[in-house]
Formats: sequence, structure tokens, C-alpha cells
Amino acid sequence: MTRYRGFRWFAYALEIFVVFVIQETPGLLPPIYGARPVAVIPVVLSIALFENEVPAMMFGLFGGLLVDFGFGGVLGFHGLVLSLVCYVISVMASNFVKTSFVTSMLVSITTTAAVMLLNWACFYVLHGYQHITYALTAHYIPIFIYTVALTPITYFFNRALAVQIRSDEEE
Amino acid sequence: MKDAFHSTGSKILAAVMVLMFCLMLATSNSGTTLLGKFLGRLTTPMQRISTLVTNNASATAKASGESKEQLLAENKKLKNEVNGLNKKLVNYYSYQQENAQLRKFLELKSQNQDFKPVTASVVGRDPANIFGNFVIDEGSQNGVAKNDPVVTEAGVVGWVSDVSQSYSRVITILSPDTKISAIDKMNRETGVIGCDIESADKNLLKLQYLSAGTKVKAGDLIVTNGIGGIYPHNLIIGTVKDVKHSQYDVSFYAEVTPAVSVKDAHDVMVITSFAGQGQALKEALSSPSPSQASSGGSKP
Repeated sequence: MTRYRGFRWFAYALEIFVVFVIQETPGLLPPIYGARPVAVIPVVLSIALFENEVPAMMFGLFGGLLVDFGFGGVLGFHGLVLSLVCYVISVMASNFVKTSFVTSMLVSITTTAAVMLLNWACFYVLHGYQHITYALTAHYIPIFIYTVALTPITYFFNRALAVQIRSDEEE
Repeated sequence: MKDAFHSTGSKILAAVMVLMFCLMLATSNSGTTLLGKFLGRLTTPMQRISTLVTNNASATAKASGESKEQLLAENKKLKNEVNGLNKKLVNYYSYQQENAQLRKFLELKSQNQDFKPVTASVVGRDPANIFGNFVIDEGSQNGVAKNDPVVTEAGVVGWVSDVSQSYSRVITILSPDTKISAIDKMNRETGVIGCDIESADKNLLKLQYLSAGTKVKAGDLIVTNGIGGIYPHNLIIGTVKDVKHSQYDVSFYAEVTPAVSVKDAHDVMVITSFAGQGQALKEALSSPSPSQASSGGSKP
């Protein structure tokens, strides 16, 4: 492992941790229509676009476990989903699609929608709570929109990290 | 592409999937795990600091956002208040003496002498948790235990659902997972306080299972009745806003405005011990009948 790669991975881990703390701190991210973003999701998705499969999966796992911990539900749910998704995104970014802002937005929209729907299905519908449609439209969809809206910031920040902290061999 | 799914990476991915699945199974039954405790130790101190910084920054921003005219008006108002207070100070010492005596009587009569409170700050609110559940910065090392009631000076906030050494998770009264046996202070009519997502968004609770001839009316004070051994009796829950007919049966329910703004609470108090705590739970656990376990109307 090159010095640059180690330093970049450390920067990613620190970024995920700091974003998680910001996300969980009451009153730090302003609510819009009562919704606050799950900011860790676009961060790990952006990282996956610039890293190889295994590191992408590991950062997805780390971010997912933090999301699980913050949510207070079943530990491992988001860890499983985000590690799998980040692995697939990394493979796609290496082999099929060109990494660009448009790609990152598409990836963020589809993945965040899938995560939010799974969240709603597993932690709301299956729990037997009432008003499932209302919960989806009044809570989960606003959280999804707010989360996706952070993608431009996370994409350009992580692209800068990936480009700046990279050795010649990696390029 | 084919290589990517037959590589070492794919084997690691499969191992991670299996590991996460096992972790999910383990935590769905037992709650806190070693990994959860580790993540708690990692994140809670940072969240405590960031909460402190955020609270101070918002207070400073609020003060600096006022215009010159507003500050002059406030200054004038404060000067008037100082003059008024100086006049009142003349009687202060006699009142203080009287107050000390009354406090002694009050303490003797107080029904809350048995409380052992632990004050805590709200350090985490997850955006994906839609019922306003939160994390506090006190845990088992300060005597906090699972099922302890959480209150503010205004009334009930919720209950402790999960405890680690340095932090605890609180489920609020706005969550459908919270059921509290409650009583109308005015006419002694009882019911069960619950909530659903629509009511939670309107900042309302439901006092359910009221009879057809209910005497509960708008403005009545609703308090805990202490049955169940989870909450002490006489903790304020809220005031009745309206009484409505249940859409599912012949009973009525009352909409109750909570005394505490749960989603904005910053500092709370955990009652770690009180007279009668856990009594009904013990009885319910020792009894084979499941109906007795739920008769307290407390928590699942």
C-alpha cells in the first residue's frame, strides 16, 4: 500500500466519521419539512465511485454500521446493504460507466431510494405501525430528497480527495 | 466484469454479507453488542462535544441577530425590571425564611422523595428515526437502567430502551412503542396513552379506551397513574385538547397535547429509582397470564 493510498483512506474514514457526528448532532443540520438527511449515504457512494471494490466495500460497511448505530435498530442492516451496493458501484465504475457528476447523481438517487424503501419496509411496515403510506410520503421521501441533495457536495469533495491524494502508479 | 465477481474481492464481499447477517440476527434479539458498545465509545464523546458547540453557537447567533433598536428596547425593559426587583428585594429575606419553612413541609409531604434522578443531555437524534427517539450522554455507569422513565421539569418525555456504559437510548412518548397507563387528574378516569405517526407529527398523544360516557374534556390534566411499575404516579403527561370517537369501536379517545416539546428537548432527567419501580413487571413476569403483563399499560 502506497503512502498516498493510506493517507487517502484515512481521510475517507475521518470524513465518514465527521459526517456521521454532524448528522447525529441535534440542531446542526437544519430540518426541511421536518426531515434531516442521512448524510453518510452519499458520502460512501461517492467514495465507491473512486475506489477499488474492496476498499469501496469496506467504507460502505463502515458507513453502514455507523448508520445502524445511530438509528438504534438492528446492527448490520445498513452495513450489509451499503457494503454490497458500494462493491457493485465500484465494479460498475471500473468496467462499465464513466465516473461523472451525472453518474454520481443517478447512483445516489437509485441507491438512496432503495435504502429508504428497505428502511420503511423493514422498520416501519413490518413493525406493524399504522399509517404506512403517510409515513412514506411525509417522512421517508423528504429524507430521501434531502439526502440526495447532498450528493453534489460529497461527489466534488471526494473527487478532489481522490485526485489530489493519489500517487503516479495509481494513475 | 466476470473477474470482478470471481475475484478475492467477491469472496470478501460474501464473507462480509454473512457476517452482517449474523450480526443482524444477534442484535435483533439481544440489543447492544460488543460492536455497538465500541461504536458508542467512539462516537458518543464526539457527539457530546458537537452538541455543546452547536448549542453555544445557536445561542450566540440568536444574540448577535438582534438589531440595535431591539437591543435598546430590551435594555429599557431590563432597567424597568431591575427597578421593580429592587422594590421586591425589601421583602426578599422575610419571604426566604418563610420559604425555607414551607419547603421543609413540602419535602415531608412530597410524594417524589423516593426519586433518584440523573440529569442528562440529548447528544444524538438520528434523521432516519421518525418518532424523535434520541440518545443521552448518561449510561449504566451513572445508574441508568433499561425501562427507566425519562422526564423534564415539565413532564414525561419517554423511557430508556437500551443502555450502554456511557450512553442510553430513549424512546419518546411520540413513538407507537410507548404505552402509558394514565389518569385524568380532574375526574379520575383512566386510559392508555399512545401515539401514531400522524398524531406525532401534530405533536399530539392519544388517551385511548375511554368509555362511551366519558367525562374527560378539553383542558383536563393527564398524569401517569403509576400502575405498571415503569412510571411513578402523578407525572404530568399533558392536557386534553379534544375528545373524539374511535373509528374502530364504540370507545372514545382524547387528543392530548404533551407537556414537553419532545422533539426539541435538550436536557432531560432519568429517574433511576422510585418507590414501586418494577413491581408490576416482576408480577407480570412471574405470572403465566399474558393479559396481566399488559394490564399496566406500560411498555412492550
